[in-house]
Amino acid sequence: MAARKTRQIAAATAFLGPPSLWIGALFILPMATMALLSFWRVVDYNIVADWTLANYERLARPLYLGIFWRTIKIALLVTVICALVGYPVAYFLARKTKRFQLILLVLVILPLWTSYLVRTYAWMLILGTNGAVNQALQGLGLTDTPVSWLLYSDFAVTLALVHIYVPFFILPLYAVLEKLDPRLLEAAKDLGGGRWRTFLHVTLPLSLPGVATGCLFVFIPSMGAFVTPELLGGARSIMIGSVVAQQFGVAYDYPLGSAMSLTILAIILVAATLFLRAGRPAGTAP
Amino acid sequence: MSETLDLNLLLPAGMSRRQAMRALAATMSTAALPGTALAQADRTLNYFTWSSWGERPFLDQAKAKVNLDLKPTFYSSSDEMMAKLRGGGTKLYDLIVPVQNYVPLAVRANLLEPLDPAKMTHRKDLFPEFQNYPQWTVDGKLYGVPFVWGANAIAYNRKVTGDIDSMDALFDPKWKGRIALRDEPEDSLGLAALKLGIKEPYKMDEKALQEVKKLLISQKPLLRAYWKNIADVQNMIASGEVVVAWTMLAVIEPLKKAGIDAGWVWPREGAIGWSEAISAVKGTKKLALVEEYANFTLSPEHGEMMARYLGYAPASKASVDRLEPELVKSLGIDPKAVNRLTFKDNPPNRSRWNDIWNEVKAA
Repeated sequence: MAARKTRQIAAATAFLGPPSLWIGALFILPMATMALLSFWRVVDYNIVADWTLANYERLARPLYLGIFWRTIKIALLVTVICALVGYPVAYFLARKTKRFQLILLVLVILPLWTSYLVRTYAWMLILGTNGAVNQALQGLGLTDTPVSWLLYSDFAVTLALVHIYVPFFILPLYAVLEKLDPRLLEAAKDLGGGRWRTFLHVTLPLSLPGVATGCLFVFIPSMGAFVTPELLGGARSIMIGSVVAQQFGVAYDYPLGSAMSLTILAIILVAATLFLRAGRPAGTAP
Repeated sequence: MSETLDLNLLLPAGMSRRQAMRALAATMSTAALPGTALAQADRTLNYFTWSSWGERPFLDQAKAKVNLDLKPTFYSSSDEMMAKLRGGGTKLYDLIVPVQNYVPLAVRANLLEPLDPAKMTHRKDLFPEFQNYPQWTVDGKLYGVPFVWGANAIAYNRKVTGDIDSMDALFDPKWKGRIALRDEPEDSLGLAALKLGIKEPYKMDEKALQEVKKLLISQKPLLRAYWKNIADVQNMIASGEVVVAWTMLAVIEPLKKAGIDAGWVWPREGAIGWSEAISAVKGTKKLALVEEYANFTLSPEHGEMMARYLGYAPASKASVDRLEPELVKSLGIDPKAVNRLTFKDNPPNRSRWNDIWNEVKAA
């Protein structure tokens, strides 16, 4: 009996030890450090451990609230566009093609093989005053002067973020649609449901968990994006990720940066709860 | 791809294969030698600096003339330099190139090692203005002797704008959507203060700061972008996105090489002055080598190369004496011009400056 118990403990340690260490050292420890830091302050380039809510009070000012709100709006917009663009692609991939499935899947994944920094710079070449789009518009005689809002604008930031994150929407949704039980679709057809009705009442509800996961995978990194808005955003396109990066990399205000990061985390947790609740298939228990 | 896009500003410079081989050879040859020889042979310095000072000609000259292997990593603002040193950089780097007003701050934050004035043998060749420039000495200890001085001012595309002599160009609706400013409070709040005729920008009170903020917010509809890295603003001008920008002199030579008729002017309202020197990072094990390089940057040959290659003004009179009078005139590197500049200083309410700047950007 005792020997068996010892063996069980040994096995549990062997299996759970490494992952616990991993999560503890790389996730819980940094989070706890940030939580602590967010209540401290900086004096003359030294972090002083006296407890204060000043960092959170600073965040409550109109300046930072405004930037948070802008960031949430852009991240939501990116998420919605990714859903609208990504759903048909995932649907086609999973249900409408067998011949080109592999090639199309590779095409979806292919952009991920290039650093997103390079992809961001590529958008500069495409959207710039003398970029490809403006050359084409002028060549076709659609405009005399280059269209300037293409680059250094919210438009550029949104477009690039959609481009960068849309594969993260397509892939989880594809996985769900691919596993959809064909018998349910046949049953819907047998009961007289047309194509559109079958989609609305069977496919779409069953794919909602995939949609929710995809939305999360897009929303989370968009909330924290900072390189793309920095390079493609104009004088007005500041996002909270840049402000966090500024606190750690430039201002040496780790406490304020930590408070900002934890606030972003809180926003993401709320969003995740909402997305996942919305994505729960009808009729399942909470 | 990364070469042409100047991503090197974002990354520490990698070792080339030749450097790696040289390092390997050095290690192997010194392994056989006793103590002192070993320390002698390692003449590499980890150099945390502005991108200009880490360019090839500077590294090659250091190797050829004083046999030092400089390994550069770049920062693009003084605040970034401070934050990275404070965040662990003191363990990584031997020397930095601060702007004069950050020296007292860095000393107070315990980031710098004083230099031995006796080792700065070229100091006597400098223009008197720079031999004992105030902020480089803190509590009686010397932290650097400036090898270069200059101004941040206006670069413009002469073909588009014609000649410019005033800051009005940065606020002119004619260039709407083709103007860029630097994303840094000292420069941008400073230039706005000069434009408003404020005599001592770095001593502004809250009322003056609010006026400056108002001016900068009113300018925003005219702006294309706020730039961070020197390579970004250079690309903006080269690609025609921007025709007037507040920037650093370092963009001009590359733009000319790219075929742009790039003009450079200290506007009549004034420009923001700075001086830079080699400083030793706290705890460096190679202080003697850092001092050797610091002294070399004051030498006539270093200053001459810098002026010819980048158009920057040497603090060394002996360097300027080596240049043709026409070149000196065209570069505007006469130290008499120094009084036209407002030198960077530390605002007493620095965090207020940062907040004001963020308010401008978020408006």
